[in-house]
Amino acid sequence: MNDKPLSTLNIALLNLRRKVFRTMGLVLLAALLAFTLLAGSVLSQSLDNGLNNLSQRMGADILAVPYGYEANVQGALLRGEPSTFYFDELTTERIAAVGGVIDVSPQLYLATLDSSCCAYPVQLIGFDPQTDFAITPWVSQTLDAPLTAGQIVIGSSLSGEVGQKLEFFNKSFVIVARLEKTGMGFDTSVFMDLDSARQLAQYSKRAGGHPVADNANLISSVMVRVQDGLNTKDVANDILQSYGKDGVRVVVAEDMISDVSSSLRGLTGYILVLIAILWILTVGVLLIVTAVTINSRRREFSLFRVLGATKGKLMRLILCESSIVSLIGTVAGMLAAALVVFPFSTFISMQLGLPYLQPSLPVLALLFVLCFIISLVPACLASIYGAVRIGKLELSRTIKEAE
Amino acid sequence: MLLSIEGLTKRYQRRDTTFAAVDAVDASVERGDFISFIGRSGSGKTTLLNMIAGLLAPTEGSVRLEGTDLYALNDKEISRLRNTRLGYIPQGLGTLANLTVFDNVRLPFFLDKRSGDASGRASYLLEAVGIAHLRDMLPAQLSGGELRRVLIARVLMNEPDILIADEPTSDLDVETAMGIMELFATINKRGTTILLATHELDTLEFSKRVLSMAAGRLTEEQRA
Repeated sequence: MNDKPLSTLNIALLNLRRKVFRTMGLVLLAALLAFTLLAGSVLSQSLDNGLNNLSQRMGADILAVPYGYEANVQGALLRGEPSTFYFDELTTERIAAVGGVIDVSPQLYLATLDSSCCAYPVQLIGFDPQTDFAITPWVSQTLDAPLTAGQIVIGSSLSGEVGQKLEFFNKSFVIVARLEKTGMGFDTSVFMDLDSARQLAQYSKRAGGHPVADNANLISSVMVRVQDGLNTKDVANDILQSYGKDGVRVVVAEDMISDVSSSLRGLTGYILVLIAILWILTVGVLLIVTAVTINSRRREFSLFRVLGATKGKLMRLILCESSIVSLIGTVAGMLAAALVVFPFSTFISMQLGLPYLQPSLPVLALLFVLCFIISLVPACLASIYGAVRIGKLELSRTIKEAE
Repeated sequence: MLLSIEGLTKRYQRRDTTFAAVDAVDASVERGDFISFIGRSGSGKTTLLNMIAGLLAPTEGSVRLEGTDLYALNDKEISRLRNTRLGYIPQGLGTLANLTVFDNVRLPFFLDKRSGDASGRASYLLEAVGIAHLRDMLPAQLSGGELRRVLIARVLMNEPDILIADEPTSDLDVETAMGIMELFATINKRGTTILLATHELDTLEFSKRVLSMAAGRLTEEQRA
């Protein structure tokens, strides 16, 4: 026995419950739209943030690397792909002598497939705290004293707490700081001073076979800063012309960011097109469903009118039904999107191979609100259309048809 | 006088010709009347009842309920009138398939703002029309006679002044039809004015007045 008042909401719920398949279909459509809208927005905003962060945090104008490893250094910086490539330490001094170069700092990359911290390969980056200008500025944000031997700073995606020890090549290191999320390869990298990185090479299981273990004068790259006002590409060309024959190649940071930017534009373009198609599809389907529903329910609506329901009451009923469907679908879709996008952000960022940095909480909250509103618009449009159709419903004609 | 009908006309356009489904009908209904409108199919009974129930605007003429012209009211006002004072059982429109018998009967109560014991009244009405045991059934599970009883209980939910029924016994067997007519007679004895359209002469014995429709014109039959 159910003595609940037959309010507009309760009648709408009863109607939806009795048409389970139609209701579920519409809920699924609304959920799909909300999912795509939120997941797509967070994704595209995170990529945009990642790109902005990349240009802010790159630090260097030019990266000098050994011949054939231009793509590897980009992989290491953007995606944290473990890379090992080396050339002579003297390259640092040579490049420093090129006109227009104001700062140079060497870096040494070691890769590990075996560590106690991670489920995936880790890039170990050794840098020179005396000359570094690319890493130190953001390491010092979380570190009070300069990095010393046996100490490491870990990227935000790596597990481990400050004070905890991590082992690489059987050598123990103490975590002294964790970086903020950068959206770049730095998130899955481990940082130590250059000497510690060289020592680590000695401890490598591949000791003896490791180039750095055999030759302590090797480095992986030289970060270069160009004097303000000079054309970076001209300076890069000078470096290439002077030392290209010695196996030195250059990557201009501006070009790298530009490449990432164009990939990003392509991806966000696809996301936007997908969202637009789904939105239009949802509006179309809801309008058609509303038209069909009102047509097939003319008898029911006429009966309501005969019993004394105003046109406004019927409009509220239609609005209530489509709002319930849209609300359930939107909330379910947004929850599903949140459950996919947030816990798997590291995985997504690795799969995309692009800088990926999730927006701050206020921006996320704004995205949620916007997606919620945009997801509900199709239901509102369908309700307005339904209201217009009901307004045109000719009561006596329906009664006559029903006889 | 409860209801006054003056010069009520409804014309329709059929290709190049205009015809009057109801042609200048005058009638008056007193409180407590039980009037049967008889006539062949197409004689204009349903059109007349639809206009009296405030569902179909006439081409000419007026329907006044205690002086109030139904067609001078706006949607909200005429809807309220249909909900409170004019109970109508259309021939083709029955129950709401998504609602149980109980909810179908209670529904009119909730279509306007009012307070009271809707469930108690619905239970009483279901008992009164003899289908209390069917309250939680869906309309699809009911027979034709049971459905008519649901419609009668529903139309009485808000205690209307006038109960209008279009062919309430059509498609029913004689025994069931007589049961329905006895129910109308009981309702009428309790003070509700009843107007019904029928072409079954067996049911006329329950009426106090019989009005005959032919080609849109109305004439009063003299009872023996």
